[in-house]
Amino acid sequence: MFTGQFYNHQVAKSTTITVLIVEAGLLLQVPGAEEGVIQPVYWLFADMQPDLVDRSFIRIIHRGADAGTLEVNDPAFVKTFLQYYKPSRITRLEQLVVRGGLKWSLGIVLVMIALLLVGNFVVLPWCAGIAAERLPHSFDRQLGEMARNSNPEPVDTAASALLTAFARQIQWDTRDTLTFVVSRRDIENAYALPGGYMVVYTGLLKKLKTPEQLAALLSHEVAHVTCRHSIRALCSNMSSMLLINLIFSGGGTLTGQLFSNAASLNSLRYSRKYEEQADLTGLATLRENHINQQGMLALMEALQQLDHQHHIPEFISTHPLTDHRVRYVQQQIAEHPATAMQHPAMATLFQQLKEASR
Amino acid sequence: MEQQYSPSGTVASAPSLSFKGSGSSYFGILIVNMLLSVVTLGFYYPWARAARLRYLYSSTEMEGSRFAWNGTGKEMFIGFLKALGILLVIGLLVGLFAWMKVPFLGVLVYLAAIVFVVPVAIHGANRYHWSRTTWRGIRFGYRGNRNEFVKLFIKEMLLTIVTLGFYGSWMLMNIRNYVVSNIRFGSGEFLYEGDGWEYFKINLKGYFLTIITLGIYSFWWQADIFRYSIDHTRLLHGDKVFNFRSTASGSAFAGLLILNALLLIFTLGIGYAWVQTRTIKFLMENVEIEGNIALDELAQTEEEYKNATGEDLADMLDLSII
Repeated sequence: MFTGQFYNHQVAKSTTITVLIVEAGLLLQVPGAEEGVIQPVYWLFADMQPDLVDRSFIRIIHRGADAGTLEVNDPAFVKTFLQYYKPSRITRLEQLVVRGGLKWSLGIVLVMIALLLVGNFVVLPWCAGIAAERLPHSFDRQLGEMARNSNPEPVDTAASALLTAFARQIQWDTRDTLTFVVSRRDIENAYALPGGYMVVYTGLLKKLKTPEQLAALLSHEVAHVTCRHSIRALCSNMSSMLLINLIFSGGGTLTGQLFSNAASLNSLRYSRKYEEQADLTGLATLRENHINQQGMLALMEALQQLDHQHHIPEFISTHPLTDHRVRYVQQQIAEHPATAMQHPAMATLFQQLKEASR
Repeated sequence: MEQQYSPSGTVASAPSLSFKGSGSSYFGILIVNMLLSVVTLGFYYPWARAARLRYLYSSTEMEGSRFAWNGTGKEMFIGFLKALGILLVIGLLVGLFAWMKVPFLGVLVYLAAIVFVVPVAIHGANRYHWSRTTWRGIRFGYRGNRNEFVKLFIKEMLLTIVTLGFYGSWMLMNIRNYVVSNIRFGSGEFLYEGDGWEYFKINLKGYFLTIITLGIYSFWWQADIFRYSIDHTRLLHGDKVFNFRSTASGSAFAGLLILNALLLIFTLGIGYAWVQTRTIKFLMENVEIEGNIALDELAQTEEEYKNATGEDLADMLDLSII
């Protein structure tokens, strides 16, 4: 026997009544129309619409001829009622959470986090991959031109001609029209833009000692282009932004901000994966052209010396730490030994290039 | 319920308002909403909103009985689709005129849409919102006339534009007077008597003092605005009346809002549920009701109204109802 408040939907009068939970329904002792007369009313579970507000408060609305509302503020009643009233009838998930308390909420938070992780690391890269495949090759070139125009480099025409002649000695397996450019700047770096625009700085050329090193460098950069890494990274970045907007549109902009920063860290992880792929594809190019694969290792050693000057931790750097790179390149060379030939034309061009970039 | 017999013999009562909700339960509801919104790519939104409102209303108590929100996700979803349709048509028209190289007509459509859609949305939102709110099974209601309200809104809007915004306080008061005075609580009738000039003075004082005190006065300004909206509201029932009074001070607002901001920042937004429940609790505890209405006598007079288009439009346009 429980007590609750009964409202008859006619006037805002609150009547204290007793409630009995019986088979298939509730038995209410409701005062009758005449003063002092108590009338038992039977409500079937099937005709009622319960609204569980929290663990101790429930509102039950009864429609039909004797419409009315019953409100009970008693955790014991709520518990017993829910045992008799088939829980499956309570279909709203949030009511389950209200019943289960904070444990359920935290459970849902974990499910959310799991979904987010799966979405971000499995579903999104997959979708981004498909999106990247669908984009035509002309898009790569457009994007490359945009990047080029926004950041024009001082081009060394004579050295660029030598580099182009050098690159022509190598058979490239690509659909893109490759352009090789030497830029006279004291930066120890090289990069490839989508569409096949390759830039090597004289700063880096000075550090290279053999033509094999340069061949390795070019095959690494060309691999970025043929694997369309920029397009893939762009697609996955955009899809991450979409997911973040979906979740955090509206409340909690601060968390959204945090996640968009995390998204850029994630895209760096991508880049490292892409660097590895570029290294391995570059090695394959060297093998096919009978160029000594050791050139890649020599290139890395040269880069490693540069790395020691900067001390960038692997987690926040876009290139995998060179020690790690050296290890998988060595392993790859051991697994795929190939014959190397002398390339006198390349050696000559390399010497000329070294002199031109001095 | 405190009951006192006044000398004239009528019963004076002071029903108390309170909020019984807890941040952790509300957090549970928000997190489920979030999960289902993600899984359904946002389509769960109307149901999420219904769940949220249901919890907040059901946790608000007056005189020992809880309020109830009876709106459903389905109603709001249908309203959402209709509202989306209306906005889409407006957007298409604006786009079409831009494409036909007559952006002038597009701007005209846009302005006309603001002038007509906004008051229609406010009207519809009030009808739906109040009809779906009950206390002890008695429905609230909104009896405003749509055409009357659109005319009023356009007139006030034009005056505000012509006076470069200075008329804004009068506009707000005249609109609120109309809307609140048309809200019914069963057979009880709300009445709001705001005065544009007084409201203008509050805002003028608040604006300048906030600038002079480098923002510190803004909490007292907030308290003044809140007090003005509460203290000029009355509930009439026959010849009986309830007066409302705000007891929230500027310093209390400062305490609430500063702590809310800290809560949001240090929990990276997760504290949002607690911020909202704290705020509602604060507002409820700072409204005093006093008068001689016998709440038991409020009778069911308002019809059910299930069209949520206005409600959804107002939500999409981010309009607050009153």
